[in-house]
Amino acid sequence: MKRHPIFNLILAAAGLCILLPMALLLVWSAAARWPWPDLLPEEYSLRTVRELLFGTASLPALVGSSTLLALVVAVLGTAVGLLTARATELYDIPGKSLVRFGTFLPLLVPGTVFAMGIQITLIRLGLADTAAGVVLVHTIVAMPYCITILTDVTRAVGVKYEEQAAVLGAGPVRAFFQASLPALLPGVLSSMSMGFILSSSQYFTTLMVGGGRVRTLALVLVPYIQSGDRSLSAIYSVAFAGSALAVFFVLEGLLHLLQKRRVIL
Amino acid sequence: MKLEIENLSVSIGRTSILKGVSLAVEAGEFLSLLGPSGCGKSTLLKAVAGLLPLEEGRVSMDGRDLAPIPVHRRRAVILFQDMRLFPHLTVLENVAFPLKMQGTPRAERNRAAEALLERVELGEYARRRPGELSGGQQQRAALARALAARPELLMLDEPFSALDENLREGMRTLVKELHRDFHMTTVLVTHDREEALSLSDRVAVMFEGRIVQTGTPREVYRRPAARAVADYFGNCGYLRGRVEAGVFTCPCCRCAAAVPDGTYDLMLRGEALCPGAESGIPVTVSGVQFQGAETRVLFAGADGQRWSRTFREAPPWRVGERLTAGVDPGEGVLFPAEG
Amino acid sequence: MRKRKLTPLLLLLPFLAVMALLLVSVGNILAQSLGYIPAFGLTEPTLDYYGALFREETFLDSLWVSLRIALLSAVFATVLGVAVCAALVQTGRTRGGMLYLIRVPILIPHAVAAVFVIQIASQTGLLARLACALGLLSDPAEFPQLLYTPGYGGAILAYLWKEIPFVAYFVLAFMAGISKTLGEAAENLGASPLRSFFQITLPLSLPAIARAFFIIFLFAFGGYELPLLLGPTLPKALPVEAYQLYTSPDLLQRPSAMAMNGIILLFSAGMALLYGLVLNRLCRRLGVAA
Repeated sequence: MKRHPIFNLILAAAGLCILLPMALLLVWSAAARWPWPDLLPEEYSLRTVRELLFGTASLPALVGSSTLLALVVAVLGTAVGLLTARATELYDIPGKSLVRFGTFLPLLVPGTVFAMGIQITLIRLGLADTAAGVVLVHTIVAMPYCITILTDVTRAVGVKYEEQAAVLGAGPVRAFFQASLPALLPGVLSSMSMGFILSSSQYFTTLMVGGGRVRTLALVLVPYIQSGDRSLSAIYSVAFAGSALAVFFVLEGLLHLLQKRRVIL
Repeated sequence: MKLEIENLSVSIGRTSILKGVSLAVEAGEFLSLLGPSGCGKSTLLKAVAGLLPLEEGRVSMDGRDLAPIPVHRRRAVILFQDMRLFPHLTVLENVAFPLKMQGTPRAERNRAAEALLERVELGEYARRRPGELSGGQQQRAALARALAARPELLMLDEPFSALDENLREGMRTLVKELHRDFHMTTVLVTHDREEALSLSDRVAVMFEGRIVQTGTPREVYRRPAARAVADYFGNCGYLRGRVEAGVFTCPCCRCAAAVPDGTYDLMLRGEALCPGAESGIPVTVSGVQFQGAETRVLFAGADGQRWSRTFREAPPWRVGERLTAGVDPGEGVLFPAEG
Repeated sequence: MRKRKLTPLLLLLPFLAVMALLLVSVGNILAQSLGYIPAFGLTEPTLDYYGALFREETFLDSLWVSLRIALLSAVFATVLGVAVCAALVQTGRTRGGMLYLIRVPILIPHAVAAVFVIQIASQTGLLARLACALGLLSDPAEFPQLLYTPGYGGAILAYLWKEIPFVAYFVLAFMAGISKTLGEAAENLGASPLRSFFQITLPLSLPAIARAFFIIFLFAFGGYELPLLLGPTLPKALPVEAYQLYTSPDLLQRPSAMAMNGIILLFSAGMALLYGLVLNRLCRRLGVAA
């Protein structure tokens, strides 16, 4: 069964387009001087790494707070998603289609528009310029994706395990955590991944709602790009992309491990 | 078209599914591939169709090796269990699809498709979509489409399992009639024993990736080549005894045996028992089930064997009654003793 | 499960809270864009601000920029993404290494994608240097200018880098399912792999493809970072222009800023409506459920 070679060609081209920029990024972050039209840097240096670790932006703290914020958003988004999915899939409620419609509304309202519109309300609620406000707004942005992912798994798993646990003597809370949750785990991890990625890439909403007080990697990176310093933008990009990939692969690895150990399907 | 499968081995991932399978299907023959779920029957069909790569072995049609021929040119059509009608085409377009692939002009292929639809009694549904048809109707449409491809080999993968009992009978008859009309070499995959026995010219019994016995329905049923085959058709029990000098002796009977000396088990089926005889096997009646036209009586043997036999008239025995069941050991099959 | 009437409602509370905030935000935008900002002493609702926008050159340019970015990004990302998806399905690589690689751009933040585009496609970027090494040009200015131009080529490239993998991943499960069953049956009935793909697999994958197109269009239309980082000073993309107006020291510009946001919402809603109609039509034509 031989497939047309063009498909392998397409995949090879895609792979190249994905890996090349990333490799280039690493080279740029270590470049001290790389004038036109050289194909490789003239001089290498660890200036950028030093700036990264000890410079004004104080990276370790930044990565820490960025990651924490994004994780909180991931957990919140997933929690909202689980509850909402449960309500629509396992119960018979009127207006189910309205909920489905509502799930997609955040997609229709871009981040910039939403942030500009909610600013005045956040000020009144005392959430402007706070991390809590940023978390709230990020969660709203992540919500459609989390709900969609969790709706699919919730529907697939259904109530069967909980019902079984209930007739065997487990109360509703234990039944959920011990019987259903393991089966829902792939969806939960997927939703957390998604929430984390969405939150950590947010720039405008963090800027506007956090008022410059809440600092994330995205916020710090943009001025560096605008400054035109390619090496610095490169090293911050490495830190940024690196942390995003790290979290993703940790979650995926967890999932893989659990599946291998037959803990979950 | 004669199909020859030689020493076929197929693995999916790292699991070996088919292990050295060999089978020949004569031109125009209707062969059933019978076996329990997971024994590799569907895998065999897919391997023949070219949908799965072969690890080892050879498949040929009329002597031509199929290996270099791509899937869409093999003319070995599978009627899948999930029917796979194309939802975005009308029933007519579905049936005409293979002809379209062969380059037949529109008017001609539509006529041919309509004729086939009439043949399966779906003429009025030509312009409908598959989604509007019932399960049985979809099955017939899928059948018509498979025939439209004018295959050299028609393979049916458990086609009736999704249907209601009453529909199954009608579909089986239809398939048999179509086979008679079109003379195609046909392989039917099923786990239903009655289906295999009643429809086929020959039956190939398969367990765990190997073909254990091939023969006419009669041969496979009455002269099983292995215990597994005998057990698969059910309603059999074993009497242990010894063969010496060409005679098999067990506590309840004796008969001639053209096998070497040793310990053997005689396999007897329920229908060979005649309860209420003077001499034979001691049995206990363990159940009496009214089944409408007949009554089924369950017997338990001294060593835990279980038999059943059906009677037209309700028999006079009660549950728990002990009887002697006469046997004709010539009806039985000898297997070497195990364990 | 016990069907107490109250439980589902309680479960939905967080969702409803989020909905409330969304509606409040949209409400604020509508109110302010219609000129109702009591804090600034504006209490007369009026459509003047909307009207004024359409007479303004900069607004119309910005609108066109955003629409153009959205359309080009969505069209090319969808077509090329489907091609990558088809490649994955046809080569059987629907799991494992290749798929993880394809998913990487989805994880990488947009700002980093901007850095990539600068490094590769700018006039002093990798491609320009390669062209120089091959003797095709000697001055950076000879390399076509994709970044910082009204064409927003750089921004579109960045969107493509991120969204082609997104489309491929989004459509994959769906297309793989169709190909494994109906595509396989088509081949078995005599269709070559290519014909099977174009006549059976691709048409039946259209609902998922349409969904992906819609998501990308809306996202690119409302995008801020990439047009900001890779576009010229003028014309700005609509969200960038709107924010600039929003942060203007002249507070009376606020209603105009909100009117721009209102226009963005209008277009989003219009697109959603269009999508709903198209999807409905499509599913009926394909004989599948929406």
